[in-house]
Amino acid sequence: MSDKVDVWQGTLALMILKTLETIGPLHGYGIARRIEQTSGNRLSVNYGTIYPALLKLEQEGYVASQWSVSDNNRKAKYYRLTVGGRKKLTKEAREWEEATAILARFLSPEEQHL
Amino acid sequence: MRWLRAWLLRLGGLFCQERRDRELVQELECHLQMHIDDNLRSGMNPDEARRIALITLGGMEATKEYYRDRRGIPALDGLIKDFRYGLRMLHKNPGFAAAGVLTLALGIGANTAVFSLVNGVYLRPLPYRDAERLVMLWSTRITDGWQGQPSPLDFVSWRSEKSAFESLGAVRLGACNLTGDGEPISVRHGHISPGFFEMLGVAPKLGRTFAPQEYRKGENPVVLLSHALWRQRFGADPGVVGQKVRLSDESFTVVGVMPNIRQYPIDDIGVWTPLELDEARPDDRHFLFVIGRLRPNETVSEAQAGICSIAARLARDYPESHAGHSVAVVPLRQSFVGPVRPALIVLCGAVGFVLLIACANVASLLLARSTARTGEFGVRLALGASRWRIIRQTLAESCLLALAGGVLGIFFAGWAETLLLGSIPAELSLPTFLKDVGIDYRVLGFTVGLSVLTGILFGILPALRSSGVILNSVLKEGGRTATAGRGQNRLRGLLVAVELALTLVLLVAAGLLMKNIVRLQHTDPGLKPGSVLVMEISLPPAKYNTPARIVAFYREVLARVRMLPAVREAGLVNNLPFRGWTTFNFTIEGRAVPAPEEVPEANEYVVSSQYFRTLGIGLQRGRNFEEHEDTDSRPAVIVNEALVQRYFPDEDPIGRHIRPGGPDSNAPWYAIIGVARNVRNFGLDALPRPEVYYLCTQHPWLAMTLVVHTESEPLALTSLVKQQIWTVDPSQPLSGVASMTQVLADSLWPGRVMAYLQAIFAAAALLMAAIGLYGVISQTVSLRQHEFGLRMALGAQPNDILWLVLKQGLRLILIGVGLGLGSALALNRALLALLHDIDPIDPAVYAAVAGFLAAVALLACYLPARRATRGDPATTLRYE
Repeated sequence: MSDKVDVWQGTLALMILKTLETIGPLHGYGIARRIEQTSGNRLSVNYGTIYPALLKLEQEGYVASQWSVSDNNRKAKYYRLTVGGRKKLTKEAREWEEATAILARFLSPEEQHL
Repeated sequence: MRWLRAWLLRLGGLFCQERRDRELVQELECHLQMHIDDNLRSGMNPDEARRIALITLGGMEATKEYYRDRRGIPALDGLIKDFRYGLRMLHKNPGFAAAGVLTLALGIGANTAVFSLVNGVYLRPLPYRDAERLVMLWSTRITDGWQGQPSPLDFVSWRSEKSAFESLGAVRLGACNLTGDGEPISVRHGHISPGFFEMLGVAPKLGRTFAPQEYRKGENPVVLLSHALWRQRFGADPGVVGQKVRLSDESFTVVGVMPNIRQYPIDDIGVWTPLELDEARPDDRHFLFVIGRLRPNETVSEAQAGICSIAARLARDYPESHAGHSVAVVPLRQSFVGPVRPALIVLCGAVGFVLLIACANVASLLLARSTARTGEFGVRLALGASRWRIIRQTLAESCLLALAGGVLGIFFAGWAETLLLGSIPAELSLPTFLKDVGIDYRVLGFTVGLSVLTGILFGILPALRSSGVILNSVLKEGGRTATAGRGQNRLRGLLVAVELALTLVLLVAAGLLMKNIVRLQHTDPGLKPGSVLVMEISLPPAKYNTPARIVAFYREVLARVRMLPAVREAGLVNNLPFRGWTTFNFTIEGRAVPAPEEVPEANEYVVSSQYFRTLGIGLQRGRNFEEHEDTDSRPAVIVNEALVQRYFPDEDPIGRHIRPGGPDSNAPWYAIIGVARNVRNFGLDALPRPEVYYLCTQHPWLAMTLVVHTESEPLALTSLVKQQIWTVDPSQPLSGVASMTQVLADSLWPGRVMAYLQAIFAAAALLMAAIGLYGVISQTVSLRQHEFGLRMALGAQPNDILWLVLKQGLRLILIGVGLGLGSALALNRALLALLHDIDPIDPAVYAAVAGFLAAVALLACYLPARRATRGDPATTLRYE
């Protein structure tokens, strides 16, 4: 647990969206579990923070929710990606890749172009 | 846009909170269960499984908190909770709440009433297109600053110069008799220039306005009806266009009906006809009203500069007619509300003071109550409430009180306005802007805003005090310390002293205004108004088209009226004092031709020979008109003292000659045969002006007012007099029936109303201040009961105790009166500007008012003081 890194602010939403895109509609617990797994257990997710984040995404219209029955016959609230959510995901993902590419140029040793 | 969606949803999250909470709990429960199941599957025991699941969740309550914060708007949530709590608190103390709401209702209501007046006068848009670009033009004279209505000559000259304004329009007001179906009535008549309504942007509801050729004399006369007349007289008949109506015995064709909008400045014009202007030789008398529309993007000062340079050029090119004259350009709204401004300012100040006093009283009440709640606040602070939170909650409570007071205040204001407007005498043409006074959304918004501000104003002091409570001592003693009470008592005392000061200022203003009114009422008007009946007769020019006919009619009427048994004397005048006047220029024989700006000017009156006797106007010199004098006798006039003082200061005017018009007029010379005493025609507080009286038989006039001096109650004779007139001409409408005392009283009405209003506000303030003082002294008495019991046990007399209590009261009264006198003296410059003719530093009024206030305040102190002396020492000492 001490090796795990805390989730950066603002990236949780992106992770939720990506998870929902990959897996499809899922309940809150499943999303939290999946995020932990995807990070290779290197991230510590306070499971409780998923819910306010999901609410924000729902208020902004990127996900939609619905009560349904889970595999173990439990009544759970399932979240799914909306069209707007997909677009947002693509846009954010591209921005992140650009940001990391630029930063990489600074952080990795390079030949000095004269 | 996403954030907007989110915020709207968050706003919605304020509702149905219970249902959403249940859903959240369900979801979290389900989450925990799933995690526990997984843990169990991986081999943990049930307790461990649950514990790990809870830890990973991060705490149920914390999660719920974060979720709720995201779901709603936390700040708003807190505010709503504060309001609900405040409502509960007020519910628990209905007496305090009632007292507070009532006091605030009076304060806020008074301000709402005055604001709705300001709203009607200044803020409501005028019903014309781009009304803020409309201006009125007034003719001015450079030498003495006279400003008055323009003449047709002025209008024609200004209109010919296209550069200054986009358009100009003129209107002449008069009256005519409408006969036909129904009783003949006198109707106000407007003569308008071409394009007048188009300039205002008002289109007729039915039909059309006048065509260019209809402005020429001799064509088929046409008329426009007003909406009110159309409804009242023609039953709102849509087919009225094309019909003929008889106005003053002439036949007019109706070409249109105007829509139902307010007319300014007077709202009761019944008909409009085209204005006939002789463009070649325009009339030089000043009886028009000229309205202009500014060019787009032109300012008033630019237009003023433009028209002034034109006037200067006209003065150069046509010195005989235009020298010394200029123009004043005034925005339309200002033209007719200007005179009301000083009164409005005084009223605003007065109600502002009343509100401050109400706030001070309620703050005082809150402070008193906060002693009872210090325990509660102490506990809350100990439990971790932030100071800001407590302040916010107490402020919410105050604002709730204030809003309740505001709602009640709106009802008070509406009721008071109806009362006030209903008390306006019917004969006084109600200025149109007063008709617009009422409660609209602007007034409501103002009231709500003012209530919130008021709540914060009186709530801030108690809030700060409650939140700054010293924890330890409060929790220990349960809030009964005399020291805490004393400090608060001193604060309340300070508030009361301020209240007394404000009350004094209001009382001084009221006293000065009342003194002024009393003085005016006792001013000698120059005539004897008692037992005089007045009645207006307006002869139609078509029927009475020769002077002989006019003279014959009036002679017969006078003769008949004089024959009535209860009539002592009867006379005629064309402009009844206090009701109207006309001005004219005249020339004095044997004097050098005066410079154009110094042409002698006077008001002209046409009277019958018995007029002076009927109204009791004395003759200072010379003789009265004789009964038999008419066109065959030598033309004669009577002048008044003011004219003599101005134009014949060192010589006897009797026997001199004057004639109307300028130096080149060819009117006959009139001999001055007598000098009458001054009559204060323009209001009891205005100076008399030079006046010339013509004899009606020599100078017949169509519209005259009959004045009848009766034996007893003048109005009782109305129908008899009317009958006599109708024997002479049955189709003659009569109007303006009143007693002369009423006419005089009506002229004083605005001043009287101001004085009464000010007195009401001052009385309300006095009552509130007295109640506040009573409260503070009562509190002192209860705080010091123990001490008084001790003193009395040790041998003090009841009077000593009384004196102790009164001493505190006296100190407060002295501070208050001192502050008040100082403020009143400091404010007197403002009072001087607003109440001309009054000496604002009137020692008698100040002394009387201060004494009155002190007396009332002492009474307010005395009552609780007496209670102090009644206490039985044994019981008070035992009460611990």
